[in-house]
Formats: sequence, C-alpha cells, structure tokens
Amino acid sequence: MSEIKTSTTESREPGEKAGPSGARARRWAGVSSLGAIVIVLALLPLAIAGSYKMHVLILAFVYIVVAGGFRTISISGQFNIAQGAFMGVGAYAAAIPGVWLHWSPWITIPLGAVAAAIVGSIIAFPFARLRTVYYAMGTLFLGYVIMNLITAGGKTTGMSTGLGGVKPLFENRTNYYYLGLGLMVVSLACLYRFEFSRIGVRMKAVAQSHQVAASVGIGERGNRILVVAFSSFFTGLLGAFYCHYTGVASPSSYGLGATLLIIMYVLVGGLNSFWGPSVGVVILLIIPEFFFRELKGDLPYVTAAILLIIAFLLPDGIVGLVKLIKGRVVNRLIRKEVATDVDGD
Amino acid sequence: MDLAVQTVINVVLLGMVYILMGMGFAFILNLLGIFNLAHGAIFMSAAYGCYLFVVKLHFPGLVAFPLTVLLAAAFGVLVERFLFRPMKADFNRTMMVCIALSTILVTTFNRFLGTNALSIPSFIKGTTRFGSYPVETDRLFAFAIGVIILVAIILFVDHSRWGARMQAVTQNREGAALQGIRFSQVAAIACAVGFGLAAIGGVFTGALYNLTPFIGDVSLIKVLMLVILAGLGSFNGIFYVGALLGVLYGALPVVLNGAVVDALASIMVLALLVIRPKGFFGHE
Repeated sequence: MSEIKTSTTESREPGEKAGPSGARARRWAGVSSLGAIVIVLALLPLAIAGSYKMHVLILAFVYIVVAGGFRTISISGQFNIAQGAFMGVGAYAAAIPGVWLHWSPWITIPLGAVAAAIVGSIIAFPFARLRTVYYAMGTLFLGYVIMNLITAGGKTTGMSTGLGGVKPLFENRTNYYYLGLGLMVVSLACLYRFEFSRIGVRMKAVAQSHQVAASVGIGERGNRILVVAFSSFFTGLLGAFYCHYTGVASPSSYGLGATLLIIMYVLVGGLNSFWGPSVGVVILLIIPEFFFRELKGDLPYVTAAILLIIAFLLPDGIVGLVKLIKGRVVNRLIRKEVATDVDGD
Repeated sequence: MDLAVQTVINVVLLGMVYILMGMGFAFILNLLGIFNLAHGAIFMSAAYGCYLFVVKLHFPGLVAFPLTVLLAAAFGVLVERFLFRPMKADFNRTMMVCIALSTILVTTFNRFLGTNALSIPSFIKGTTRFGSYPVETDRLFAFAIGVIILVAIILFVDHSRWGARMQAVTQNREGAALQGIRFSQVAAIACAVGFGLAAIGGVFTGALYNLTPFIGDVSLIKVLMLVILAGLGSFNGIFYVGALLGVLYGALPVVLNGAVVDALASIMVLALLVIRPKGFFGHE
C-alpha cells in the first residue's frame, strides 16, 4: 500500500552554505520577511476598511490556520479527512452556550477550542490503529458522523439549517480583522514551534517508520493522539471565531465539501512545507476572490485544473516549485563562484 | 401485509445497490490501492447521464441504461490510463486527481442541471401482481438485472481467467507480475468494472429514488461504511454487509426515525473500528 509522503527531514537546499553564519542569515531573512508580511496585513485595513476584500481576508485567516492544522496532523503520516468536522465541533461548542445560555463570546471561543481538542483526542484514540488509506477512509466517515450527530441535536443545534443568532463580538468588521490576524499569527507560531520541536521530530519519525520509531522508544499511539489534539485545538479556535464572525453555525460549512476545500489548499500549496497551506489559501481563495470574482461559477474548473497540474508536474505543490527554482539558482551561483576561484588560482 | 411486501422489496433493492457500489469501490481499492474519492461523483454522473439520454435525447430506457454503463466503464479505462497510472499509486497525488475529477463532475451537473431533485422515468410502466400484492414492474426489473449482474460478477471473479489474475494481483502484486500478469491491464479492467458497477448503482438509484447532485456524497459514505464493515480484501464480506445495510436502511425506518437509524449504523461502524479495525471479514 502506498505510503503518505511527509516532510521527514529538514531538507537543506542543494549547495546552500552550511554552518552557523549561513543558518543565522537565512533565519533573519525569513523572520524579517514574515514581519514585513504581518505589518502589511496590519496596515491593510487603512486601504480596504469594511469592504468585501476585508471579508475575504478574514476568511483566509481562518482557513490558513485550519489548513495548517490539517498539515500538522499530516506530519505524523496521516490524512485527516475530518478536519472540517473538527472546525464544526469548535463552532458549535461556541455557538450553543452563546445562543442558549447567553455566555460571553470571550468565554465561548476558547471553549470551542478546548472542546475540539477534547473531541479530537477522544477520537484519535481508536483511530491511532489505522494508517494511510484506512485512516483516510475512517476519518471521512467520521466527519460525516460528527456532522450528523450535531444536526440530530434538534432545536439546540438548529438541525440542518444551522444555528443562527450567534452573538457578534464587535460591531465593526475591522476589529474582526485584527482579531483574526492576531489569532492566525499566534496559532501559526504555535504550530511552527510544535513542528520544529523535539515532539515534531518524533512525529516525523513515526511517519517514516512506526516500527523503527517504536524500537527507539517513540510510541506511535501517544504521539499520534497528541498531534491530533494539538492541531484540533487551533482548528476549533478558528472555527469558533468564524462562527461568531458570520453569526451562524451551519453544518454545510463543515461537511465533506468544506474538508475537501481545505485539503485542496494544502495540496496546492504543498503538503511538505510549513508555509504550503498559507500559500494554497492565497492562491485558491484570496487571488480568485480579489481579482476573478466574475468567474465565480467556473472557478471550480480552474481549481481542478490547478490541482491536476500540481498532481502531474509538481507533487510538492507551489512551495516545492519555489524551492526547486531557488535550489537551481543557488547551485548556479555556487558553480560560478567555484569557477572564478579556479581562475583566480 | 402490503407494508411488509414493500419493505422486503425495499430491503432487497437497497442491499443490491449498496453491494454494487461497494464492489466497484473495493475493486479499485484492492487492486490499485487507490482510495477513489470520485466514486460518488461517478455514481451521480451516471445517474444524470442516463436521465439525459432518456429525457433529452428520448432514448428508450432499455437502451439508455446499458449505454450509460458502457460509457462509464470506458471512462474508467480512460481515468486509469491518464489519471491513475501516471500517479504511481502515490497517496497524495491520487488524492489530488480524485478531488479534481469529482469537483469537475459535481460542478458540471450542478451548473447545467441545477440542484432540483429529478427522477429518471421508469423503464417499464405498470405493476405486476404477486398474488394479491401489486408491485411496480420497474422494481422487479431492477431486481432481476441486479441479480444477473451480481451473479455475473461472482462468476467473473471466481471462474474467469481475468478474475483469477485480479485475485493474484490483490494477494501479491510482485508475485503476480513474476507470473506474467500485466498489472496495467488488470488495473484497467478493475477500473472499468468499478466504474461500471458504480454506474449501475447510480442508474438504479436515479430510477427508483431521487436524483440530486448530492447523492454522490451520500453514496460515498454508504460505500465507506460497507467497505469498513466488510474489511479490506474481502469480496464475500461485501455481500453479507450489503445485505445487513439493506436491512438496516430498508426495514428499520419503518419502525424508527431515519436519523436514529443513521446514528445506529454509524455507531456500529465506529465501534467496529475500535474493536476490530480489519472489519468483520477482513483477513491478514
């Protein structure tokens, strides 16, 4: 049976200078460019306050984290097709106490995150026995069951039409924008720390070979439950934020269709790199909604075409393509350097 | 008594549709190792295709039905050749291809035929009397066709040369290759049979029940239930579990709420995943 490919090693670009100074320079370049992106995003409301573009960006913040959560589970080697449902658990766990018990949104949003993490870890326990194709099939079914149970809740959950009247956090869309941006930055920072920590390395070991990992004392089950719980916390957090933003928790936003969309973001951006999901959201959500809105009905065709191109030519997604180009350029530069050195001698 | 007869017929037909769908999915999963997410979309497209043949092109139902199935099988061969084979069973890449395929099909039918529920006109009008109970002839016809196809499939898998090759590939791909069995040919046939069976299930569903662009998702879920319960690599299991699900979804809604039945079935599947992830009839 086919194995799911994951980024198992921090691959160094060919020809890149090793050693502390090179690593430090690379790190500074990365941090400063990320800082620049965040500053631009923070200043953007001055130009597009209250517009549709702002709404798109808020959605993008939500989906970047949810897709990032999907990828975080995938570093342990598994393909979680219940990601949309985990988001739904967060949303409903925030919406129900808010609507029926009139709790403040500042309590219900963290509650949604915790609920999603708890549900995720309970579910991860039996599912830790399944791998690859079977895990994917099991979780696809699981997502359906979760959404079914939620809609079977009668009046409490609003059935299949969804639960309306979720209390808004703010009057103003700009405030949502800043909260969404903040949540995204914090969540991505946590996911990043997780992936490149000791625990993240263990996940990658489990993904590569659970037998070898077990033989050096890295248990499969515990690590896989941990990664699902950790990722679904942030998925639930943003799911809860999303439902407070839209004011409604509706099952259609968290069903199979939504999950497939999330998977598309990740696969187009690149499953093997941390920034893949973010790039995927930019390409499949922000760019079409900003510049190609008149295409609306035909957009799925464009998306499918992009997906096919990626599947045939660039299995590592857009980020993989960027890495490839960067590697070639660096290689050429080095070759030139070596050539001039030889000439000099 | 009338209700009982209706229920029995419902159980048998539902069970049969599930078995047809599940077999098709299992063929592709066992032989190619591909989780065919587009199976539901194929099911839906075949139902719409048959609808278009009958309603828009005025083909008689008895021509449209085999035509749809053959087209679906041919489509399966094309998909195997141009989409599945180049992916070399890499999980991520086959996932992308399947999602793209299903997106294209669902969007197309959604855009051009709308989301209203349609129904394929019945192939044979009227009712047949069984003693004193009237039964729609269409359902009897569907039942007869279904039985013939299932028997044919069993004969094909167990007693034909290609069936033996398929079983060999399922058991050990390298070993089969060493015996001179060409994997690509077997894979093409598996895809043709798989898509063809999905199309038969789709046309039955479209003719006997309703037709919307969303039946694909629902049927994909049912197929997953079936395959998880039956266990992988097991053809016999699919028959038993298909019959079980037919009883569950055909008979229980008479006495229980539909949502409760769904919840029961779901809990059964999840419980099985906890206790015995290999399914009822899975080996290894």
